[in-house]
Formats: sequence, structure tokens, C-alpha cells
Amino acid sequence: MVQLLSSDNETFTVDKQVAERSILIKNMLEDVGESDAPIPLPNVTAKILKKVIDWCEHHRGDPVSQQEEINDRKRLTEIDEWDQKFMEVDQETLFEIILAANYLDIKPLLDIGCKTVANMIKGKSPEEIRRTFNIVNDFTPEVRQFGIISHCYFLAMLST
Amino acid sequence: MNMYSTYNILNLPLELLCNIFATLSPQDLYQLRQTSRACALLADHPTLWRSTVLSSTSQPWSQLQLRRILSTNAKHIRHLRVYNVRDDSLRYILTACPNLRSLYIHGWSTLSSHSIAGTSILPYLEKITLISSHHASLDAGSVVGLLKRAPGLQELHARCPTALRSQPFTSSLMASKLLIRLQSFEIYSDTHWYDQEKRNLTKACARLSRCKFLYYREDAIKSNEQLI
Repeated sequence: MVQLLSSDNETFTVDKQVAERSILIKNMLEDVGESDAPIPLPNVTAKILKKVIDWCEHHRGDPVSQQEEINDRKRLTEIDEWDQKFMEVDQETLFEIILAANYLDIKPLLDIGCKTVANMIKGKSPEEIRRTFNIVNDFTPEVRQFGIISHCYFLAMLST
Repeated sequence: MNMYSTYNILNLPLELLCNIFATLSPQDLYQLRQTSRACALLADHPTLWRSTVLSSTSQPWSQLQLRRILSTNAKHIRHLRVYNVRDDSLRYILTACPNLRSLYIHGWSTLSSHSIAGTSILPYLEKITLISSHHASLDAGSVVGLLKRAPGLQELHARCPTALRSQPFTSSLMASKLLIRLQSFEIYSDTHWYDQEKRNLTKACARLSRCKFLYYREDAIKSNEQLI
């Protein structure tokens, strides 16, 4: 068993096999050797760490490091059903899971997170994308009128 | 407090945003580009455009559509796969993407020599693949013209019926005195390649190491593959 300590000082006890889905933790365990001291994860809150551990528990049996060999295009589009459900969270949580997966170096979880965000963009109009992600339209009316093609020119003018 | 807790997609680290946007189609990037200035800068990131796929749509890609989607980033495109083109859209691609390395075209309703005619040079183009069940009316003159435009071309695979005739093609190749880098050549036409023409072809293309001649006659399709 391995103990993990979240940024808000909550301790989680998980199977070594589960914790080692994270390459960061795997490497730490190899470096430190057997130890009872909890591993501090200062970039991950308890709420997110719990989610991440849930994911690792569910995927504990998955073959590791095969993911990279799968054809990119296929890898880019499909998310399995359990993962889709897992990712049905508010945007703040979603982004924090992505950041945690990146920090903990859990590539398949990072991929699923990125795909989920990409799917929220696909097929949407600019206005729908803005609404989805709370993006402020900061184009000046001139740029809007001329269309986007001239916006680079406009930015160049601003910087001179 | 977590340093990233102000939740907004644009606060994600750049590498992750690139990771996310890499899965978007050119059409989606085009929509994204119009949302805000920060998004525009991200959507125009050159790495996102290096390998571009314009997937099949019910209508062939029109020049206007391509111009709208690609114009800002055409110079970044190195590998392009496009499904369902028209003459004018292919013509646009060849003039707008000067850094093209490989071009894969799958499907059209009509494709004439007009589509590959043009004066802009494609210095990096190494590989062209044409696939369709429709006829491409590319003749000797237009293919030689293409080899002039793309002096670095190493692979030309036309897996579609073409109007190329072996005799005029090889003689205009010989006459053109071009330095042709072609290594692999596949052509499908209704002409027979006699030994004389094959010999001329290998003379004109010194590096040629793989040839495939498919020819169709009204009722039978014969294949003739040759390794030189």
C-alpha cells in the first residue's frame, strides 16, 4: 500500500499497483524505496486526487504504455463509456483533472481529458464555443467586420 | 490554493492546449479562431497545421471554403490529405501551400489538367497520390508540367484512370531535359507501355526504382508491375 498526501493535507491509502498508474509516483517509489511516509502531491487537491484515484482503480488492469502505439487518429476520437461518464463533471473539475493527470504523468487519463475538451469544441460555431468556455470576444468591431483573415495584420499594426 | 483554480480553458498550459487542439479538424480550428484573439493565436499555431486532413463531405470542397479555412495557415501545411476535390480547389491548394511535402487526394467528380497547371513552384513536394474511381483527364503535357512545378517529386501514384499516353509522355519527358527525381511511379491509363517507352522512361528518370503500369481496355484490365 502507498500513502498519498493531497495539497490540502488529506491522506489517501491506495494499492501500489493503482498508484503506479502515475509515472511520477512510480518513479518516486523507485527512487525512495520502501517507506511508510506519505508521498506529498502539492499540486493536487483532495477532491481531484480522489477522482484520479477512482480512475486509476478502474483502469488498474489496463496494459501500460501500449497506448502510444495505437494509431493517432483513432486514439484521438474514441472515449469508452465508463470514461465518458467519469468526465461528466463541471469544467473547473475537468480542467483540474487534466492538470493533475499532466502533473502525475498519467498519459491515458490526460488523453481522455483532452479528448473530452476537444469534443466540447467540435462542430460548434464561434458564439457557441464562447458560451461553452466563457471566452470573451475581444476582437474590435473593425476586425469583426473584415473577418478573421485580417486579424493578424491588425495585431501586427498594434505592436508597431 | 491550487494555482490553476481560476477555471478557464485558456489558463491551461500551452502544451496541453496544443494537445487538445491537435484533435480538431481544420473546420473546427477555423471556428475557434473567430472566438477571441487568444484563441486565434492558438488556432493558428503552426504545429496544428503541419499535417492537415480535409475529410470527406457531401459536397466536394470548393475553392471558397478552402480559402476561408486554410488561407491564414496554408504556408504551415506540409502534409495534406483531402477527400473530394474539384478542379479549382486543387488548383488553389497547389498555389496556396508552398511548403507542401506530400499530397493525398481521394475522390473527385471531375479532375482535369487545369487543376495542376500553374506557375508557382512547389520546391518541397515529394509525394503525390491520386485515388478515385473517376477519370482524371491528366495527359502527357500536364504531368510533365507537374514535374516541372515540383522538381523534388519522388513518388507519383495515380490510382485512377488517366488520359496519359505512354508514347507522348516519354517523348516529352525526354525532350524536356528535366532533372527528374522520381523514384516510384504508378499510372493507370488506357495505353500500353512497350519496351521502348519503358526504356525511355528509365532514361528520363534516372532514379526510378519502382514502376507500376495498369492499363484498361474496354473489357479487360491488365496489370503490369515492374521492378527495374
